[in-house]
Amino acid sequence: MINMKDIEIRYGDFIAIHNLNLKIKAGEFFTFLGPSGCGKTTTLRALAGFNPPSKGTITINDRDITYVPVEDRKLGMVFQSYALFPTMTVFDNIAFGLRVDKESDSYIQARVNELAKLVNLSDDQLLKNVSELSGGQQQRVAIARALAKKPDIVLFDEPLSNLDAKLRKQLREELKRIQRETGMTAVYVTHDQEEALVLSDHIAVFNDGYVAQVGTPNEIYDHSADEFVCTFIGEANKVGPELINYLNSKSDYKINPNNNNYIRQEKIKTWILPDDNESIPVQGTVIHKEFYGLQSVYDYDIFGSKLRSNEKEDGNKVMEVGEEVTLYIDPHHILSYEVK
Amino acid sequence: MGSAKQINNSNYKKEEFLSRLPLIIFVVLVAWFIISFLIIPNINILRETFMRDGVFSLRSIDKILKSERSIKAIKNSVILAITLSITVNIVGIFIVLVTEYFDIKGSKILRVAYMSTLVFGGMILNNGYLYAYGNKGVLTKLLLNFFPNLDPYWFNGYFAVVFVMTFACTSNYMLFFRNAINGIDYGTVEAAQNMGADQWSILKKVVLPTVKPMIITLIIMNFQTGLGAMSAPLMVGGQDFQTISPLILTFANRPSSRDIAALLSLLLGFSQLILLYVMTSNEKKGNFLSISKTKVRIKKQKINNKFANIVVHILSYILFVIYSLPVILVIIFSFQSGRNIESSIVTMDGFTLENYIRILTDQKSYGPFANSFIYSFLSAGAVVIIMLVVVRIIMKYKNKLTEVMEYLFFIPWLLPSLMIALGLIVTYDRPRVWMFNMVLVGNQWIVPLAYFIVMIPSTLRYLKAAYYSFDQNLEDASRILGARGFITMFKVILPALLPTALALFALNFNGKLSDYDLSAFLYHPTSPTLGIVIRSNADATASVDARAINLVYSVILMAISTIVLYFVYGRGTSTAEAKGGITAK
Repeated sequence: MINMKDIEIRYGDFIAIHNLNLKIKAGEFFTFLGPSGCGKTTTLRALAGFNPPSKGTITINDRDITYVPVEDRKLGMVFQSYALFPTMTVFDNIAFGLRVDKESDSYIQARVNELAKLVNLSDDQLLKNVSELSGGQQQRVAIARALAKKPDIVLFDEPLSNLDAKLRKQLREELKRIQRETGMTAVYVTHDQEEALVLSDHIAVFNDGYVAQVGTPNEIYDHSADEFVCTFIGEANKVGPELINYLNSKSDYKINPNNNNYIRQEKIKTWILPDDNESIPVQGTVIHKEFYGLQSVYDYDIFGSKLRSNEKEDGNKVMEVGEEVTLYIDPHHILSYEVK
Repeated sequence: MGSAKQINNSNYKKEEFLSRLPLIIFVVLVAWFIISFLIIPNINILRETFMRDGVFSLRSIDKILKSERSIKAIKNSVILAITLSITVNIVGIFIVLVTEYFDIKGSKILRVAYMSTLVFGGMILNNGYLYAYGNKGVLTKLLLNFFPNLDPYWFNGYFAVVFVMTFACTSNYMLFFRNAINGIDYGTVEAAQNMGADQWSILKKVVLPTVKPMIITLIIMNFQTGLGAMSAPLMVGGQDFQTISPLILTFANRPSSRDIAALLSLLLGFSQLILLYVMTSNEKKGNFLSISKTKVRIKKQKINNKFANIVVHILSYILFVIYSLPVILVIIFSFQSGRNIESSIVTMDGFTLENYIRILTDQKSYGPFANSFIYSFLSAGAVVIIMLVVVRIIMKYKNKLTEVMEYLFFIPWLLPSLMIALGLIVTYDRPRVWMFNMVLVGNQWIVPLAYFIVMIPSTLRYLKAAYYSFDQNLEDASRILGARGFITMFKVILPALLPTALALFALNFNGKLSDYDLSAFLYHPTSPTLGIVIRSNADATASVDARAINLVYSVILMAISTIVLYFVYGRGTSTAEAKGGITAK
């Protein structure tokens, strides 16, 4: 559906995006993930038409839109700052695009009501000025406004980043529901890896103007394409060569000890299932413990590597600092990257 | 696919050019305006000064050096500038401290009096002081009862000019310095107290140093005001204390001495440039013209030393009388009969609306009012509308051309307004090709044109500031919802800028309603402005009628200014701005 081909975006001498190639399928939830300044918002704005690429083409359903003005692209967009028109009521904000299209009053009324229901806004709230709404409610208005013209594609530019953690989680679930119900294609920008993993069908991880990896959340997490993706997503422990050599000596699956090797926090186990023949027991010492209520985070010293892992605080396993413990590591879970 | 793309793109480019046509026409008009009104007139002043019969000449300098009157005026202006930088600063800081920082009984009523210059300024203030202290003034008459030997013209010369201007120029302190004092972090005062500092050292070592950049800026502004003073020296300076600006006006009216006028105005312009330079480099050290509305208010300090407390209270109330007396006299006497005005007494049966009725029904009396109203209204309206478009262009197309355009629009800020007026006179007193051979001098519309020119810099600056704080995403949101440039401009951007634009309109309008400095150079004798008429009515030899007219003018002007200021500041601009999408930085 969306095809971004050989895209380069420049600001004067500065190249913000290098040779980007992305395909986004109809109806999917596609996320641009990366740290700030990596080019994800720039790419989204190029798709929206705010900053046209210096090279390359963007097509939607095979129609070249690279130089089509913003207002003719028929895309929906939700902004990080919500960008609600402060001089208009909630109703007028949602109806703005419909009025630009000169839709009939009765259609506008019906459509706005329909959208209000979809995003859970009450009739009272529709008549309010946007400044009278809370952040979460404002974001609902922004989403309704972006959907008003029934765009096939809706762009989201870090829409939840201004909300507190609890509300972010709640709206995230609603957003996924709305996307499912409307069948829209969502292109979503975020720096929050958890948000990306939970919401997305596919994720493109951006790093410094390049796309480091495109894949499903599972692929990105468990098979990170490079060291950047590995360390940016989730928690990863760096594993020293001594431990790698030990694992190599106990397994047929060999890992290059000279590589930069990592293992994710939850892949270090304190117990294994009886039929697990891959995990190798290693001895470690608890050197630090942090209690979080739901879980505790332990730091172990294993063959000179400091590895961090978490343990559910269900009362089954409680360890103290200084205690010797047996841990289990499956060599297949080691993420190994050549040193550049 | 490739060719389809090309057609697609060339169509869009053609459409883009057509949609840009109005923009191109507007930019051409702006360029014509800048060249005709901001550049050529000022070059012509240089030419007028240094060119004689087509060759370079320093004769004008020679003429000034030989003119005792000019040298004396320059000397007087410098003396006035230095005096005012001291007196205004002392009074200004004092009135702000006693209303905002120290706990003084009745500070609310004191504040009203001290702020009266915001609505009772310029020509009407001069007129008011003359009405109180002038040769026929109420106070002079009162004093004569006790001291029959007193010279009725005692309120005259250097002392009178300094007195009037000292109190007239404290408005900036009540606006900006007051904001600065209120913006002080009260924690610093408490910290100093905690470390054992007494009140005086807290003020001297903590509070005042924080606002020092602001004080320096205000001192420079006072100096500048003193140097270019026009109406006060003219009205209360008398023969003995003439300054540069009124002299320029006199010389400008004589074609043979125009070169002296031009040179004197260059002198003022040059000193203004230096002062502005000093001011901007000073501003870099701290902020100025901050419109921040701080929420944490400073707690008022009760003066611990009993004796000092009494002295400060007494001084505060003396100042209260000085500030409020002329205002009160003007208001009361505007409702008194001609006979009472003549004899400076107030009686109950002398109360009348006759003065108002006569002025509002007599064309000769309301004519100047109507003229000033129309000139100010048109120029204030036009400058806001045109600068809205200019700001939009400057912000949207950031390139060398728009950058130069912006700098050129700030020219009227660098130069004294009378130099602008003089530039128009020496340039458009004859037909010019680029002005379609029209002679502008003698045309009544040159007055609003000059108003327009001097309003440009501040209007541009504040609209740009508003535009900066306007959330750029709103424009993007409007476009992605399908709205084209015009709809976005009218439905999203304009409503957001409207509170600022209206405030600027109001302040511009207010500022020029009783203008004298520009009108004095450019007005048409058959359609004088309010400032001109108030000035001539305030003359020592003017009739009772004339004085009554001035009283009524003053009250009406005060009423208008009060309403305008209420709408701009009183109603809480911050709420309006928040509604307009302008966020405080």
